[in-house]
Amino acid sequence: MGVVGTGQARSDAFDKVTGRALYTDDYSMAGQLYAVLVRSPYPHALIESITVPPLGPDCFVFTAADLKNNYIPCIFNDQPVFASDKVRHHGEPVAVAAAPTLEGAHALAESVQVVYRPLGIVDDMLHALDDDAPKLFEKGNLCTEFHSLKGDPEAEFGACALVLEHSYDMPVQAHGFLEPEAAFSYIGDDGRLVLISSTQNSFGDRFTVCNALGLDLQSVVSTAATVGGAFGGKDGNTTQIYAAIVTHFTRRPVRCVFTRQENIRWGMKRHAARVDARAGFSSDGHLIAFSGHIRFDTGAYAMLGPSVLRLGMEHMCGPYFVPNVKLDGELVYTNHAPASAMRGFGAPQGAIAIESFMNEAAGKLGLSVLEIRKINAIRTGCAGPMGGEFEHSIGFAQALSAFEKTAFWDEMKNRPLKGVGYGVAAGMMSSGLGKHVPDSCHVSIDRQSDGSFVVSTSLIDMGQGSATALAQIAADCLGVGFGQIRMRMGCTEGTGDSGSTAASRSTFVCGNAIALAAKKILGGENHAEARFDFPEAGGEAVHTMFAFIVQGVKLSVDRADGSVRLLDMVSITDTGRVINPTLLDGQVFGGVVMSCGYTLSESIRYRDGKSRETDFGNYTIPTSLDAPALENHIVEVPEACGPFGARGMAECPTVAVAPAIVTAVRSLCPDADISSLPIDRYQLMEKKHGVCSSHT
Amino acid sequence: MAFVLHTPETIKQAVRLQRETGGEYLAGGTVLLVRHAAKPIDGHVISLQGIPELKGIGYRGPVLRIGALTTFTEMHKSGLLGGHFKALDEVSRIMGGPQVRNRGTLGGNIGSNSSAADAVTALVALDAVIRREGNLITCIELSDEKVAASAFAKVGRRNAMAVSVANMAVARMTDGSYRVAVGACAPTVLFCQKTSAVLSSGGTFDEAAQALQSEIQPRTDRWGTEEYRRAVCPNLLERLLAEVAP
Repeated sequence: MGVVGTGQARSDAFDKVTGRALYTDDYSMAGQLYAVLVRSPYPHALIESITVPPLGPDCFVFTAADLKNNYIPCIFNDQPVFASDKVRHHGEPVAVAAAPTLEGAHALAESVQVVYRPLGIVDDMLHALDDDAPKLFEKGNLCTEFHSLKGDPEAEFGACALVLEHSYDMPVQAHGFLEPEAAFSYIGDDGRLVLISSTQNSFGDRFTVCNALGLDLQSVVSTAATVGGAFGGKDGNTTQIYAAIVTHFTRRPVRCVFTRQENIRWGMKRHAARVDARAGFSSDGHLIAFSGHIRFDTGAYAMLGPSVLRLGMEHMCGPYFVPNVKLDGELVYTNHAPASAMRGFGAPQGAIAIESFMNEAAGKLGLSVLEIRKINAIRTGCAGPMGGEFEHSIGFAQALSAFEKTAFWDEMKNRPLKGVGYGVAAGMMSSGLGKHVPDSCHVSIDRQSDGSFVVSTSLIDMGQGSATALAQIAADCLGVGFGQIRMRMGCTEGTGDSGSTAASRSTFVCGNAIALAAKKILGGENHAEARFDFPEAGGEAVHTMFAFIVQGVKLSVDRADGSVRLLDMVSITDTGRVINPTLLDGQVFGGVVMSCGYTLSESIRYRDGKSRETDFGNYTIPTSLDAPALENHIVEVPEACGPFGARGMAECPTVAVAPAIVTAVRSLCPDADISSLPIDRYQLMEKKHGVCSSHT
Repeated sequence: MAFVLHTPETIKQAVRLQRETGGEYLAGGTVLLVRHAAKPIDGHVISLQGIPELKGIGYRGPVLRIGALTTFTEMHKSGLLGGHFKALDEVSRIMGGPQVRNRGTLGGNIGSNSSAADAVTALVALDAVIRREGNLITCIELSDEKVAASAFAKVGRRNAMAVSVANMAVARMTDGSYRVAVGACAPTVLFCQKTSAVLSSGGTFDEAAQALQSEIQPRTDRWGTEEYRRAVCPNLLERLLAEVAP
């Protein structure tokens, strides 16, 4: 009997609950400096001068002038490490100050004199492309756009029995990881710069540092500390480059840790979106045509926005076959802090439209919300929304059937409780980085003298539990017990570049690489290396492999104050063969609660280009008292090319929660106009007692 | 200047120290320490934790005396706030989160000078007496002889650790009159004099709701809008009146 498929306890659990695990902020060394950023007080301004005051002993300030290349490598390379001629968002780094104490570093940062000439700002993405909008870049405020057409949706809408249309405004969401962005760096015994950080991509960090400082890649070692959550918000530079710059020039150990305020105001975010969508159905419930337009607010810089836009468009039709599809998207610059990757990567913004259409159409066409989804469910071999076809295993129809057998569905259909709203939605989420992005995983396995094995990869366990799941795969591939495997993850030394730990890819891509390396070990080698390449999508498709989820929510609305009380949330997840059902439940429950916040209480709101939200006191993520009772079931439709039949699923639970909740709320408050998130409580209230008449 | 912590053992010492140093009183620390989380304290702080006279909750005749340093958890667990002082019991049960209720004190909540302080709304409705020596709140007194029944409700953006978007307490007094107080809907916690008068003289609910609208002065802030606050207040009043009904 192997350990794959069992709820093996996490290998990091004991260290974490006993405080033994070392997060970045736990590292310290004699003679260390604290690095603090000099940040722009303006959302948009020209920099006229930067004056560094005379520096005391052990005090340092570095600016763009100290760098070889002043940009952070990403898709468009439009983001400077330090603003030098212009700032484009409030809080943008202009310099880094370092001193032997944190207080000293703050004081030093405040003493740097920067003269700004403020410019007009773009504070509303809906007006970013107006003729009279201030321009963030010479080319204007259109960062990139996306267009795709399949069939002839405009003509088909005219022939449809039912055409639905709706627009949504989706909020900026913060990742809300417990550990803020953090980096620690020092010069190692061999003279190389060592960077330890809270990150999703050690190799990416090394490249960013070497690019900015003009170093060759071999002179920097980059490794992940224990990471306290990431969700996409540590996929790219946060603090790493600033610590490394100071260490490089001072040869001193340096700690750079963001405060929660820096994290909430200026950390990466989920893109705000304006979604306009239209869906046409035949009288028997077939989805005939779909057109969708999304505008994403990427803030001051592109970061991963172009990929987020593309993935968002690709997922906009949901897990349904549609013969006629028109997709258009724009990524626009504004003077907001940059948005980038966040769990779901553009899919949740669009899902609210198609899933709400499905529920509305079911009601109007006399079908159940599961029947209409079954009629349209994609199956392996179906054409995708942008051409190409779904090539890999799909358990969506099975998940819908499994949902039909739940006690939740029985109650909702046959004996709904009075005053309780029920909502169902479904979602899909791709796995893998997508076409044109190198997507490989390198693994090495070393047999130890005691017969145990060390498995190395640069992928990172950010808290999702991949160290445990991957060790389970290794144990079964090697035919040894779980205790015989030790995972060494997240370092640029020892194995090749496996890219970012992102895109729900680790279990699949690394599990496969482990299986390949294990074969060599079983063939008698003591050291084996292997590389696995994520299969590329055919045709016009960007992604080729998906996880699926069907979710139901039960809730009540207090009409006196408009608050929503979430009672139960049931999920059916299809991710192929499940490696560890306990960890899977954890991913589903975490994703659901994160998305309950997205739907009901979380939003970064900008006023005059500045975030009104500053910390966890006013950026209100759900507490345990706000979360519903959670339940997850699995259907296992194995993936032929997956390790033990697995596909990735980490992001999938964030896609369909909002439309499920919105549908349930609408059933209780039919007059409410819910066109933006988080749901406005005012819309859900009874307004009776002279509310509009008596004051003034 | 540097951080200087004083630990007086009597109320008199504390008041004198404050007068001499101009320092800040430290009760449970849930406001002071959060305020200084980013920047270290630079100045005098007078901790009240070592003053036994400020602690404890108990009856003296018909008067319930609550020491200013009594925590919300202590108040709720005392079991003395059930019955007619339910408004304050409800505050003690739900305000902040468990950590805040374990540290936060009744006197500190008053001293925090917030128009959204949940306990203050309840105390205003309950016609509490606040005793002080110099500028130090020493105890709060509630009277069995005054209050017949009371209730409290708050609206926050989530179910715990939430600043009140609006809060309200209603007390039905032993003489048959009503006292209504609202928080977070005016620059201070508001005793709604007109609303209370309408209810006390047997006016209809609609008349009371009208009076309420004329008294509150809500504004839009990061927690909620003016229109939301205007809509929610009468709904809370209706709910609380039902709770305190004879």
